[in-house]
Formats: sequence, C-alpha cells, structure tokens
Amino acid sequence: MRKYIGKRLLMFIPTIILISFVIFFIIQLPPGDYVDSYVGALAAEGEIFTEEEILELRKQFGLDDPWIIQYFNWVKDIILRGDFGYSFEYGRDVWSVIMDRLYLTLAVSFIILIFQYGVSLPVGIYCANHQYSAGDYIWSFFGFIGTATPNFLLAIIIMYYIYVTTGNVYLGLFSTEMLQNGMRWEYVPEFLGRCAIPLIVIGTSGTCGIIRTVRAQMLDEQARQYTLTARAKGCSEWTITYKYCLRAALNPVVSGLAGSLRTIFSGSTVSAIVMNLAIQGPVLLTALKSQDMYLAGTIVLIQAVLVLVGTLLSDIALAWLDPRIRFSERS
Amino acid sequence: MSENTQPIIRVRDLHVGIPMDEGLLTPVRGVDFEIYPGETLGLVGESGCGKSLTSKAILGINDNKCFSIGEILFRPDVKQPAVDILSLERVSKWKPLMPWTITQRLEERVHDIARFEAARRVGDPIRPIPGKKKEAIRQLRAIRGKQISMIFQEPMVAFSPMYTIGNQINECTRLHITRDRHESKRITLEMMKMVGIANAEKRYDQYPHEFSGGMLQRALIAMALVCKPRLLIADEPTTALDVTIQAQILELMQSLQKELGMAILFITHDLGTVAKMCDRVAVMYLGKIVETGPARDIYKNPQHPYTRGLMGSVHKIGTLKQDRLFSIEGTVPLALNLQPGCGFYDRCDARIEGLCDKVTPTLTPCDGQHCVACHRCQRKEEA
Repeated sequence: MRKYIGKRLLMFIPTIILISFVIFFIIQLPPGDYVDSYVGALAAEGEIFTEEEILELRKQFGLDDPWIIQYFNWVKDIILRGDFGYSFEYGRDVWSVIMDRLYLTLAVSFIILIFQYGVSLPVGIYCANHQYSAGDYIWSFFGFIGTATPNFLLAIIIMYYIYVTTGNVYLGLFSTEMLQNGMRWEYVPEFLGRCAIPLIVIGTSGTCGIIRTVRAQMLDEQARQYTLTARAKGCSEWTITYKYCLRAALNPVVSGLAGSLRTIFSGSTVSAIVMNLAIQGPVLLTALKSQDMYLAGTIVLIQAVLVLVGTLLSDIALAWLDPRIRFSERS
Repeated sequence: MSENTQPIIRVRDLHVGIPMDEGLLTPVRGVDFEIYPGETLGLVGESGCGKSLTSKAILGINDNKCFSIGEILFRPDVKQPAVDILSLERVSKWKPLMPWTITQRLEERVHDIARFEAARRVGDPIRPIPGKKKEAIRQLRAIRGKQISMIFQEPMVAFSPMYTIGNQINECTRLHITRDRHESKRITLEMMKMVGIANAEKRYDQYPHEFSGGMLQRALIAMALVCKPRLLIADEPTTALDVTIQAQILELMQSLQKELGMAILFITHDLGTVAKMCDRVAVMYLGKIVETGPARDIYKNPQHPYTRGLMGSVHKIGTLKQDRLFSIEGTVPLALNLQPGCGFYDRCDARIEGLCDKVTPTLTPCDGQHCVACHRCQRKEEA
C-alpha cells in the first residue's frame, strides 16, 4: 500500500506540470490581455492612453513577452520562490489575495460538507430500510425537488421570503455592525443564523443527490444473497444493515468525495454571488473576466491539485473499504 | 428408537403467498411433512415449484412481501415444548399497516381460493403485545444458525465480499456459543478443519474472492455446522459445483451428519444425489407434495405420473444413444390465481377428464408410508 501511494504521489509531478501548461495556455487564449481591459476601462472614463504608454504598461506587467516565456517565468517563480505571481486587479500578490478568503471559504465549505453527509447518510439508510413507506415518499419528494432546483434560484426564493417576513435581507455572513465593531459574543447567534441560509442553499442539491445514491445502493445490497446468509445465521437486522450492507453501499459515496475537495476550495460560485458570500468562487470569476491571468491561473491550478489529492484520498478510502480493490492493486 | 417417535420439525399445511398486482401468487399451497432426528428428507422438484420458499419459511427468512400461513412446529428437544416458527415470524415482522395494503388486497383477491381465506387473518393489523415483538425476534434469532441452519445454493454470493471468511464464520460462533474471542476462534478453526479446508489458519484471514467455489461451499458448510444444529437445510448445495466436487461435498455432509447426529432437509432437483443422500423423499409440484415415501419405494415404484416422468428423464449409464431421454411435455404453470384441481392436469398423460380438473387430489397412503396425491392411482387402489 505504501509503495502504491508513493507511486501515485510521483505521478503527481508530471500531471501537475501538464495541467499548469494547459491552464496557462487556455487562460491567455482569448484576444487581448489585462492591459487591454484596463485601458478600455479607463478610456470609458475619459482617460486616453498613448501607444507608448500602453507599451510601457505591458512591459511593466511583463506582458510583452510571448506567452510561452511568461509561462516559464511563472512556473520558475512558483518553484524557486513560492511566488504565484502578481494580481493586476488587486495590485498585490496572488497568494495574499487567496489567503484573504481562505479561512472563511474553508469554514463555510466544511460545514456544508459535514451537513451534506450528516443528513444524507442517515436519511438514505432510513429510506432504504423503509422502502415505499410514508417517510420514504416524503424524503424522495424533497430529494427530487432539491436536485432539480438550481441553487441560486433557491437562494433568491429564500432571501425573498426572509426579506418579506423579517424586513432584513441578511446578505453575506457578516452584518454591518459585525464588520464595524469586529466579532463579539453577542453577534454569534446572528452569525450562525446567517450561516444557515448558505448552508441550506448550497447544501441541498448535494445532500439530495447523496440521499438518492445511498438509498439505491442500500436497496441493491439488501437484495444480495449474503444478507439472507447473515439473517439465517441469526444476525440482527442492525448488523445486517450496518456491518454488511452499508459498507458495500458506501462505494459510490466515497468515490464522490474526490470532487468535494475542489468544491470546498472554490465551489458554488453563482450562489455565493447571489448571497454575497466572501468566498473564493466569485474571485475566480472576476479574475477570468478581467484577464487577471496569474490570479485565475493560480486558483485553477490549486483546484487541479486538489482534484488529484481528492482522487488519491478516495482511492485509498475505497481500498480500505473494499478488500477486492485492495487485492487487484497488489497484483 | 424412542427418540425417533418425536419429529424434530413438523410442517403442517404451509402456504406461502405473494400478493401481486395481477392477483395472488401462491408458490407453496399446503405442504405437510415432518423430519425425525438423524434422518434425511429429500425435497425434490423442478425449479419454481416452491422448494426454496418452503425451506426459507422454516427459518422465517422469506421476503417481507411473502406471507406464510400454516404451522411450522420446531421441537429441538424431546423435553422442550415445540415452538411455532411461523407465528414467531409473523409477530417479529409486524408493522403498522397502511389501510390500503395487504389486508385489503387479500380481501379483494383471495375469496375464491378457499385455502387462503385464513390469510386475511394474517394481514389483520393486530398489534402484538408490547415487548412480544422483541421477544419473538430474540427467539427467532436464537433458533437461526444455532438450532436450524442453512446451506445456500450459490456459495460464491452467499458470503459478503467485504469481510474475511473467518470473520463471517466466527460471527456465528460468537452469536451462539461464546463471546470469548480466543475460544470462538478455536471452535471456528476446528470446524473449518473438519470440513476439509486445508491450511485453515491462513484461510481464516482470506476473503471470499480468494477461495474457489468448492472451498467456499466447504466454508459455507462450516458456517452452517459450527453451532452443531439439530436440523440442517441444504438448498441445492451442490448445484453450482462441478461433479467431482459435488461428490466430495455430499460425502462430507454424510460423514458430518453421522458425527453430529443432525437431521437434514435436502432440497434438490437432482434425483441422483437424492438416491445417494436421502432416507425419505417428498416430490413437490406446483407448491404441493404429490408423492412421498421411503426413498427406495419411490425409486422402485413411482406412483404419481409426475414422479414417473422425473425418473424417466434421468440419464442412466448403459442406455443406448438412440434412446431419447423422456421429457415431460409442457411447462410448470404460473402459480397465479389457481383454481381447484390437480396442478399437473395439463401435462399429465393419465388424467381423468371431469375429475382431475375439478377436484384437488389429497395425499393418501398407497403402500405403507408411501403416499401419493393422484386420482388415477387412487382408482387403481380401489379397483
């Protein structure tokens, strides 16, 4: 196993190099660069630049080289100095821009992840154990609604409802008082209340999806012959459900974890914009729009690394769950 | 033989029904038999005649959509009172019913089948006395695996692929014999060696996919026998195996039966293994036992046209190549909304028009213990 993990980690290096190259290539692909959009924006306000000034700006930002040279410079700085480049839009280091929102992003995403699995696993198991019961139908109804409704729409509906009933919009995670006075204990209930909205909005679609998966998988496993063997042995229904069926049913749920690392770092962009959440997703969107290429490139690169790490982690978890996978790897 | 006078299990008028949208499916329609300690009863029949449902009903492990009526009296010991496994199962599976479920369905569809009149009682949502349900589950679980155990037909899927063979056999030991880890592992290993699993210590920690089919069947037998049950139900234990392994497994079962003194209910469609294994035989067709008696009598002197057909369709060494094997015309009808009359009527070459399609024949003795359910045979007796 250790050898296998080592091999996978070594494979990371060429993969990441290749990915970074592709990312950079695609990001610089649209015509124009940051200077163009910058000059365009200022020209709209009446400030006209001369050709020379524009060339000077390009030189200053390092945009006058061909893109392949720019790419090598970017990679060289990352490897040698851990410097991910300069964000034109924010006027400072890319890394510091990312760090700004990192903690809040991680906090929000982790809470959502725990909410998703904490709700969907028990509910999925319940629905499978009580197939076609009233509870199963009710949860399935919510499950389908939740999967089918786009998150941002749900966000708008909830915010509208809250505004109509309370007269306050509760945009963002912090109220104006919180931002002015800093965090105090008396703000905690309100903060948690403000957390609940994005939790429900972003969490539902994932939760509903996992409920459906767990239910279907559990039903599949319960129809297997080995549950009959276990029952004939005198095992309790609890043992059959949790020792035998659940472990086998977890396979697709665990494979699904691979993508959620990336989502933790920068997911739910549209919902975050609608709800004015200061998390990573919207930053990537604006960076791409204004051709702030180092910032966009870095975020996408981190996403790619997280996908790789997530896949490795979920593969390890799968091997731990299912002995058959473990053995096919060994041979 | 005083011990043998008390049967270890007595199945009385067992019906298994499955309510479906098209009507009532009745795969088992009134089965009676008993098994005495130490003997082997062979239950023979084509696929789909209700053998497996009968055997699973004895353990009370049929699907929730099946309902069983009748009586399965299990008496593990002469001194102990018999328990009715079916009523235990009914209480253990009790659920608050929605008004539109089972009860109503049965009322709508069952009325024309006289035997299933009683089924309405089963569907009635009579709440079990508080605590009774738990007690029933506890009693059932104490019987399953400990007193009655079962070998399934496909060893490859009978084990969970997620746990080691040792873990899964040991679970049975730990449930019924001892909670002590070392002691239970010792007992488990001993049983694994007894069923002929070489290198049992190493095999204990291996997973099902590392076992061959024959070895898995041995492991399954070890799991069934580790608690030294009073009754072993073997549901086509050798069907999935190749012929040389089949013989080994059958011999193994026989020698273990002698050693442990248990009774076996041997379910199969293979008449060759029945001849080898069984003391008595019951032939099943469309959910009913059509002929039963000592194995020798049935082989020498089959009475029911169906049994005769079965015997004729076995290939014997020495027959000429051009002698076609006998085959019974037609197929087993679906046991859906059955009317009175002999189930074999459509395929029978000795049927009596006006009698066999109107009146259901009952099992009547024709020669000592040999019983048969056939109007034609009874006429012969009377004549």
